[in-house]
Amino acid sequence: MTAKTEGAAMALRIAVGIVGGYALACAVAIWISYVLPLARADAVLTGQLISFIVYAGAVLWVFAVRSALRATVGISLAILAFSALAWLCAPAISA
Amino acid sequence: MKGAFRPSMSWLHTWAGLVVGWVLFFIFLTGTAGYFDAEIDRWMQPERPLIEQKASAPQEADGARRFLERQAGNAERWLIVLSGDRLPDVRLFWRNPPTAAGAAAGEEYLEPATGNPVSYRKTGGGQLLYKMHYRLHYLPEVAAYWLVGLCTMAMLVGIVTGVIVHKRIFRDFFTLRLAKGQRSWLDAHNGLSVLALPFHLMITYSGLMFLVSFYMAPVVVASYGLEGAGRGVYFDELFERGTGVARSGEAAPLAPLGPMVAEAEHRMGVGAVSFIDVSHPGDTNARVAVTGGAPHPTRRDQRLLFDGVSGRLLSESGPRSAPLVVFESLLGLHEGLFAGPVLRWLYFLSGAMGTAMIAAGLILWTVKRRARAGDTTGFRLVECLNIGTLAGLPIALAAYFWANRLIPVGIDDRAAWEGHSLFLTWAVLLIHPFLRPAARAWREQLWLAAAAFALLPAVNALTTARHLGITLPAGIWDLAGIDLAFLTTGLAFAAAALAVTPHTGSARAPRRRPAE
Repeated sequence: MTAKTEGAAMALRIAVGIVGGYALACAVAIWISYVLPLARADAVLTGQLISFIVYAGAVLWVFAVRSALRATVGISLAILAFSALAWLCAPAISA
Repeated sequence: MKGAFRPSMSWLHTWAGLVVGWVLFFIFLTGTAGYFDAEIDRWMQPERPLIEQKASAPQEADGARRFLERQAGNAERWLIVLSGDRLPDVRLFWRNPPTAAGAAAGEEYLEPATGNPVSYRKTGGGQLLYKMHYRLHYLPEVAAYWLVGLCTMAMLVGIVTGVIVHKRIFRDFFTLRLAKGQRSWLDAHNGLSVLALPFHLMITYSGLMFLVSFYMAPVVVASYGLEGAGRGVYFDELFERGTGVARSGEAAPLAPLGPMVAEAEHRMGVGAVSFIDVSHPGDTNARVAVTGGAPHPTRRDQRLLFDGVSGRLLSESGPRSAPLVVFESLLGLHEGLFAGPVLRWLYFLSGAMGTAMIAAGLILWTVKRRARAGDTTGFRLVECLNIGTLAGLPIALAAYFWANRLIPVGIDDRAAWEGHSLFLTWAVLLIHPFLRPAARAWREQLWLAAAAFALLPAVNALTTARHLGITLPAGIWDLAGIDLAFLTTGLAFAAAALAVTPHTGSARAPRRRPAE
């Protein structure tokens, strides 16, 4: 691997860690806020309380896996999975 | 790929720490000073009486009401913050109806005993330092919050990766190899991290929680909708604020506040009422909320809601949900408002250790790379930013206090110029290292820091009657403590300056030199 592609791979990891980690934290927090059997506000707050643990874990994982590509695919799949779960668990819209 | 795990975490620790290190140093330094915000406020207003006059809570409320009826009779909301142990004034804030001409809001501080507005010098005080640590002063609010959030997130990653990288947490705790160059900086960084690790974790995660509804706004939107009103509904539900009543438009005199405060003190304890929130004063739908309680890490305040015309108690706040208790406990632990003098000092020392940990980490980065990359542009940039921030920012902080004593009282924007003094000084000290050899720049700035802090008590003695010659015999420890802390800081910087000054003809062992 040349220095240039190595730099590009690192830039990709940083972007996936910061942006992808944030998106994953939001998706997981939203899913939690939908499925917890609590009052709406308490469920939302619980999701938020946990969100930064998910974010930090995602960033660590992105930098721990073997390749930047693997990190990108993994985080993208996780975002898709939790978004789909949240979509399925979304409560009926109430005014 | 088990073997690559630790190196990759080490890489992340190093670079996540480096890029945000200087901002984190600023956040930790100003935030740590903020633990003594009230004491700094008092030091920065030397016109205040040596012994502050007190009044009972009902008297303070009545005095506040008299002032507000004269000055803000048409306001739609009054907020009265009563005096307390560390808060000498009664603070008033009001908001005018959107339709009214003139200012949208106002504020005034009153002497508790007389109910007259205070007439001390205008100052940023400790409040400005406290506010800087998350608001960053000049930046627009949204930009500042995102930048602070990003840096705090990097700090969280730095803490977790730091723990992973260090295999021998407990041995690190007892290891300090002095005067051994790189090893000493590593030991200092490790020791400061491990010693206050619970504090570092708590302060970082809770720091993110203060603005979590800003950072994680999508989570609120997902349940409450995109419209701006959804956020309000969320907070109303969460804090059970209940739906406020609208103004009826019919005039009715506001009931005396004194008896409502007395009723609250009967339930919460004398001296426990902290603030009074009056909505629609002078209207038949006036409501008075009285909030208070003994200071507690979980911020378990009680709130009583009164009818503002009859003075009848309408409702009392109920128990809080478990998530809300967790959330408020994180904020309460971060603020440390419940802390007495001993615990407050412990907070301050923990914050100081965090600040020093960041400094040691930044210096370690340069010490490790000097031999192989010492002449690169990137290295030079990091080294200059280190000097201009790790030594320069404390000097700028001292300049803030010098400005408080030297800027003439009564000039326009006095408080703002105190803040400008801090940032102008910092700007000059960030440029200075680029013009000097690194070792010399360290020496010059460390000596300047020593002088800037050690001379502050002398400047205080020359310009005010609140110096150590008066505060020590009188036993006014919150004022004397600030001067003594300045002296101690000055001596510490003098010791650091001595450590980086070469001793010619000395037979002593080589000292650690961060810049050589």
